[in-house]
Amino acid sequence: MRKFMLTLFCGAALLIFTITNCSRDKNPVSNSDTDHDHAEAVGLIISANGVGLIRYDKGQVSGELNVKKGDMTPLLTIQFIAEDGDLFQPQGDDYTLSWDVADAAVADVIQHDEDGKWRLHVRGQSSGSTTIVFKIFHGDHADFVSEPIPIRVTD
Amino acid sequence: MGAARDTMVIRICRIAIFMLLHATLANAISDASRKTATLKGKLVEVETGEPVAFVNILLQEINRSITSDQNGDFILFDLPAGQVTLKTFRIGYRNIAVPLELTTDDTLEIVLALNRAVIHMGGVTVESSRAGDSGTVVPDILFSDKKLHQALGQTIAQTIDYEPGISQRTMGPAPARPVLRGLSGDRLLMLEDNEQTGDLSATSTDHAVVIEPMTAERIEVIRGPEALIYGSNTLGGAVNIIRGYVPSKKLTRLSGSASVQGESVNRGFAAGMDLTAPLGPLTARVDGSYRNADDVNTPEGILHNTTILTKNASAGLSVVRDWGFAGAAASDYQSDYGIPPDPSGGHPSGVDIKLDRRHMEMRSELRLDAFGLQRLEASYNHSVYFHQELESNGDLGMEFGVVSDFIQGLILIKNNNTLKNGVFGIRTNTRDYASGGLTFTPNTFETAAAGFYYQEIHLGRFLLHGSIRYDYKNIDPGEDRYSRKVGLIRRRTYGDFSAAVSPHWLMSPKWSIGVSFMRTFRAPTTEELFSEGPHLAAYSYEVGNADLNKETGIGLELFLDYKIEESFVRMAIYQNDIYNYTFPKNTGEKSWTRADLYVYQYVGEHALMRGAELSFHLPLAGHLHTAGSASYVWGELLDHKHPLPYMPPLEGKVNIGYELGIISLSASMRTAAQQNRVGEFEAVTAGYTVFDFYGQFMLSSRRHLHSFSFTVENIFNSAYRKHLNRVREVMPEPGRNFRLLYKIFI
Repeated sequence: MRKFMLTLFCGAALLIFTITNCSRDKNPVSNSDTDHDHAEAVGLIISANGVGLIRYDKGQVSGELNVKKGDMTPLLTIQFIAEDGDLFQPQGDDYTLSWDVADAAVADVIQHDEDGKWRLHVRGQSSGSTTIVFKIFHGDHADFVSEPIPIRVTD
Repeated sequence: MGAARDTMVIRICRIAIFMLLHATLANAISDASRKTATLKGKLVEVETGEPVAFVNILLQEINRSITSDQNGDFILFDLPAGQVTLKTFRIGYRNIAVPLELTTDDTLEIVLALNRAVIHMGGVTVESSRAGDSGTVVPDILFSDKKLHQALGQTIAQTIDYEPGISQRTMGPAPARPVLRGLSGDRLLMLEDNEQTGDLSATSTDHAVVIEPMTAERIEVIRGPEALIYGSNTLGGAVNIIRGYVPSKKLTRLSGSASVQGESVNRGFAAGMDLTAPLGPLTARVDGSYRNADDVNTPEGILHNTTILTKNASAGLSVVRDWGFAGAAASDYQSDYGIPPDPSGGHPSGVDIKLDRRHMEMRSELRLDAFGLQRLEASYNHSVYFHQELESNGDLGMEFGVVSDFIQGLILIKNNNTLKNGVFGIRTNTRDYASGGLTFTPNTFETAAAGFYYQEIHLGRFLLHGSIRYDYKNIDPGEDRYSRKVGLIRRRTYGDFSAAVSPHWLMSPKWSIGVSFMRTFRAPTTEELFSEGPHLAAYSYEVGNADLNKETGIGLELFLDYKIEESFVRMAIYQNDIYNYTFPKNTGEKSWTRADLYVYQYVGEHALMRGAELSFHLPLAGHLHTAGSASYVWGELLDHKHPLPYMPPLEGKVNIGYELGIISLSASMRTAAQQNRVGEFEAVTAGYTVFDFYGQFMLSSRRHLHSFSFTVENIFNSAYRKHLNRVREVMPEPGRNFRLLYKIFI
């Protein structure tokens, strides 16, 4: 019995040693997943032909996008505001611009290949008001989500 | 990196502790004299003299157990000589406790007669611990057998929801966690087989507990000095789910159960089974469960995105001998569940969570009965937890990974006339935490260690429970960095004593009075210190506070018990005064970075909670009885003279039951008052009254015991809301629900 017990506990100790040292589990959230380098925007500016139309900064939205029914806005350029106030557009293939229009029957977004990632047009579909939310997508998650920005479509 | 160095140090310590424990066990085994006895018995029904099968028999002091066969017979070999207390547990029969004297090289033969019982339903039921656990702690509330069948819900929190002082914090049906006397998170520990689960349910409302109630053998709620055995921050107590991963019973035949459950409110189906069998010189145990449910129906419509799919399985193997047992087990728990839409409209389609938890444990127990010691216990638990939060379009919001290791050693002291159930313990654990997606929270490595002592002193009519504990915790983010929102992110170290004492005075055979005093210590978590980023499924942008100090609680409780035969009344009043009470405070401001989410900043404030509880069980005429409970907790943040957020309202439950042989019926009423003491940015919740019905029928054959349970919840399909439901503004609680449960014991 004594021999059996000693064998058993030595075996258990060896097993623990093996588990804790040789096959220690790696955290399932890998290092690449925990790359904490994100587009740190706190606002955005939408401009057309160098003229600022909309400013979303530190929680406040000023301005409104106006477009006539059936027309498109001029090419709108989106720049983001960093915490220190600098304007930037995220660099790198894994950053993309995304948007959600609350009522696509009122307005939608047109983006041509030649416009680039950070430029687009808003097209009026029917008269009325709606909103658009812009997002910076970083791989599979949103680094930035704006407040709803008002759009007015007139006849 | 510091974390890497710590990992190596802790790993070496861990191995050293385990080697030491096992060497001690082996030496003790070889040195202790082994004198064995045999116990042979038969269980019969008092009124008919018929044998009673499927009775769980426990020899409490030596933690040996067995189940009676179809003839009511049982036999236990290789028992240490000396005094033991035999306890029986069987659905439908009154539990008994019988002192026995076992003699060396002799066979003691006994016949035990069991009375049919009235089972308390809805009130507090105090019973002793059973086989498979340490046998040290007597729970305040116990769910087993019929009571567990009646209450069995989708989650542990739902299962124990209607006990006095207990509520459930929910965000949809899946991520529910119990709240005891207003205390939630890790102030109320969730344990599985006496050990922490390694999940993230304590850190956020949307995180589910990784324990499936279908395969639970029983659920214990432990409060007072006993709770300090499990953690330093157990001001609320501990909920211990006994599943018995590692078999501790020596069996001579196959034993187990299988169950199926269906419910109407979500077209839910669940099935589970557990089997334990002798396997040569070993004992093997397997269990598994499957749960699937659609969206929940409410009187005002469907609560979307509340589906749940959970799969869970485990296997364990052990050697059980007269000296004790040693074994190992592994399990996997996978769940895919939905979080309902954001009440503020930010996520109209809700969020999906996928989680997986793998677990491995080793457990050994050595019965000594020498050197003034009763037995030694050692355990090692390893858990790998992973969960992802996904937008409705499948985009990843966040993900979390946690690798946890727990090692614990216990020395249980032999009882004498005055000192009983004494236990010394040491434990150490590590936690490797990482998050992904849009998060600036650093990955951290936590190390913790603790030592504790618990003792009961019996002096005639005076009984004293006491415990003392010291905890040390180190949280290393692996970097020194300043964050404008969080503060200076750096290594934080915490340590402090916790203690509790609870004297009881048995004034008469019917009346007893007692008081409980508790001082607890709680170190902040990684999430509370360093969180920075959106938490998608919690609909919040979380900001930690790197300067948080330790949280200390002073708890005081006065209780009065009346008990005579089948009747009892229990009253308690309590106060919990908590310094640096740490919680995520809604700032009322939206994040500039994620304007779809409100900012919740962790703060430490002075909080005070006061409350009262009443519970009773009284026999009425004939086979009728009544039971009920009421509870209230008042909470205030003293620094700002604001009510504490998410405090349960005044709640109560009363039922009338009918018991006749194999049939039991019960009708109950649940009620809650309006909660108008609300925190900042928190809405008032109206009161409600709803009615439930429960019935159970049992059939016993020579080989099997069958249990059929039928429950109707919210009979009148009332639209009501619970204050601790984070999505109560979207939809009310579930509507009328028919639930059927069939369970067979073999």
